[in-house]
Amino acid sequence: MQKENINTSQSSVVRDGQQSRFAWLLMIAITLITFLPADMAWAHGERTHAPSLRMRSIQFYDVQWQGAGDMNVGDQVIMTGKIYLPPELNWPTTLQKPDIGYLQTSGPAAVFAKVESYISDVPMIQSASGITLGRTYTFKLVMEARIPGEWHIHPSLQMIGNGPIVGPGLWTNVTGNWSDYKLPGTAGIDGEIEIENLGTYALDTVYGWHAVWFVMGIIWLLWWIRRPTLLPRYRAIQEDVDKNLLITSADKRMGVLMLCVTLALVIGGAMNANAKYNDIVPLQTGNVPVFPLPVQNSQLVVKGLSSEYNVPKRAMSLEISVTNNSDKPVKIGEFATAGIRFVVDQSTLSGVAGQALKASYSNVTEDYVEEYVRDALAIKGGDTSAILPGETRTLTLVAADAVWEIQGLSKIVESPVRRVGGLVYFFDADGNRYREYVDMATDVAYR
Amino acid sequence: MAYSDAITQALDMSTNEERTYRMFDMIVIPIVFAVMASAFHLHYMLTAGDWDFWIDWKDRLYWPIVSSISFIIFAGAVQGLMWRLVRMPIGMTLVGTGLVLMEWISRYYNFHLWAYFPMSQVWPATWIAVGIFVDAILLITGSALMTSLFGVFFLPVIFITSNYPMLAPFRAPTSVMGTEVPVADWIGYVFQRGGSPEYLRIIEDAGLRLLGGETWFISCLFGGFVSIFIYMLWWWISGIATRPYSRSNPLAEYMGGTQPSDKDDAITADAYPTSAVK
Repeated sequence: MQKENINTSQSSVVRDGQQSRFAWLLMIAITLITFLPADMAWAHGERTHAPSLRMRSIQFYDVQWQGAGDMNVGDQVIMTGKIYLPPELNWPTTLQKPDIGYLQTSGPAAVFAKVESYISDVPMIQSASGITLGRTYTFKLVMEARIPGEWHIHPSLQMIGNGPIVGPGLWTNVTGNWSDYKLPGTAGIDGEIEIENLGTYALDTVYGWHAVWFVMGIIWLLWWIRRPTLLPRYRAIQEDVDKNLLITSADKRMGVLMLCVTLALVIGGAMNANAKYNDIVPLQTGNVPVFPLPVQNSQLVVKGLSSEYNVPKRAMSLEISVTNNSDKPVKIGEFATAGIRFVVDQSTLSGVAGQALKASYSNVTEDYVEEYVRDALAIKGGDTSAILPGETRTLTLVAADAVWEIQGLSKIVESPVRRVGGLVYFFDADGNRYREYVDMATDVAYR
Repeated sequence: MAYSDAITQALDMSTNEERTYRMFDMIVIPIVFAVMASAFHLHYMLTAGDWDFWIDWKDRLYWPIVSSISFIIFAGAVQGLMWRLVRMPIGMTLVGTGLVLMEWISRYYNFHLWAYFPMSQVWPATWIAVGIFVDAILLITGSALMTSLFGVFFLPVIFITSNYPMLAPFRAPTSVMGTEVPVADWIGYVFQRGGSPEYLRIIEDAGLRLLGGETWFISCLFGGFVSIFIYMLWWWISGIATRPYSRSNPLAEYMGGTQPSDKDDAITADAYPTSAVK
């Protein structure tokens, strides 16, 4: 009864004749959608990373590039800088505690060749172990341009269980020919094997053996399909035709021959390779321990109290408390987070301190994209006087700049974790720089 | 390419029938080859992908085991189908050749030209020697059980040994930043995979179960042992696949057709091909 009701219902969406026409229209529409132009995907998604993770996990700072910008195939770009991991108390609970990591660049596949990489001067051909919260490491990456094009490359640290945290990126414009890139070297116990180009190394051997096996496979297949194949053989089985017609003695002789030739090639090839490459090593894995920089000798106690992101002003206000236990007055020069550096007007830092601040980014900005160093940090109320020895002062830093929007950090307003973190830099009159990490909850102001 | 043959003569076929069947062969065989090769490629890339994609994943421990088990699932089933339906011991060679062909197409166009990885990093392993070896054992023994014991058991050995001449140059030692590694590791280091850091590789590690330094041997032994059971399972499943079942389409009504009657809803095995399952 139920089925009858369905069939006779006037409200049924199914009507003979109409359904197929709609289906065809739908199929044509779906097909046409695939021809819509697709935008080029730029950069590597760092701006869509959760802002609370970018600002509160690994901090890349003092990142410098040498040789980026306009490059030819084969030119080198060298990235150096420091990696700071916030202390355990402030490490995001959504991330695993770091231990094993791997230094590389984030970029579109292998457009650059990574020729050297180091964490704290330790070669990083394998993964690093012992990466510790609250400590700082240096890094160095030497990359060679390989593929012509415009490429955006970042240093990045991959962490087991977490994935990559990407440092600030830079555009490169590589010209030349892909085929011009060659990476030579040597191999063997005594370096007796000359590698003309790593990208094409031993390919003649690979192509040769694949060709041999393709020929063998085709011979075997042609042997069988040279005779009537599908339907006659199927019918012969169904109708119990003499089975010796399906597999003849010639077939069996051919099978034995193919088996012998296959085994001869397999064993002979392996013995020959063994004689030629008798000193071989298995793939190397395991981890290499790395050691952090010494803990800085800072007598400053800095606490993050609260913060507020003002949406229309694109400004982050950070209320912090600073206690200066050192014997020198200090001034605030910079707030850095997620690879973005907000610096104060250099004139507020007198003499040597101002020069030290400028020196900390002057050689960076030469090759930096402007959005990574913003002259946009101010102290609310305008009190830029030094924090004296023994003094505790509560002050509010204001970093107002469109870069919050451009870098996607303003998405903190939509984030399930509304917290901001970053590094506050202080300078004393001798030009010494002190780095302190702050982490605090963030409110949002919509007007 | 003969039209007439002892088989067609035994079936009392007319010349016209012979020509028609031969034309059917010429049309269908390339299609079957392309479909099988594509399907097998998809299966193999999903199950043994990274071990076959990258030169610095082709290790001594996991590569023989994972690759063999992944291969024998599909290849065993196709070999069973080809043997049961047309009594041709070419199933494993057919799909092995197709797989390697598809891999070369994918590695060259996708990995090399599109993603810029050098061919020295992404060349595929060959399976054709394995296919010929196991097919020939099936031809000689005429038995799935004997093939599994004397063919499939040696599958990982043949696989590794037939690929070793290509792999050996990549195991030669070299020094990178003062660390001695095989050339394969150097290639994986230089031509980096953005989303796949070194620690994600699932390769032999220096654990306490290092198998006494005889990793190749033990891996091939274990891979062959497991492959026997996988092979027999899929040979059996291919037997089910040779029985054509029919069932009315329950969604026909919604596609502009008519609703099937109740009697069409039962799953039934067609009577004719039962003798194909032996």
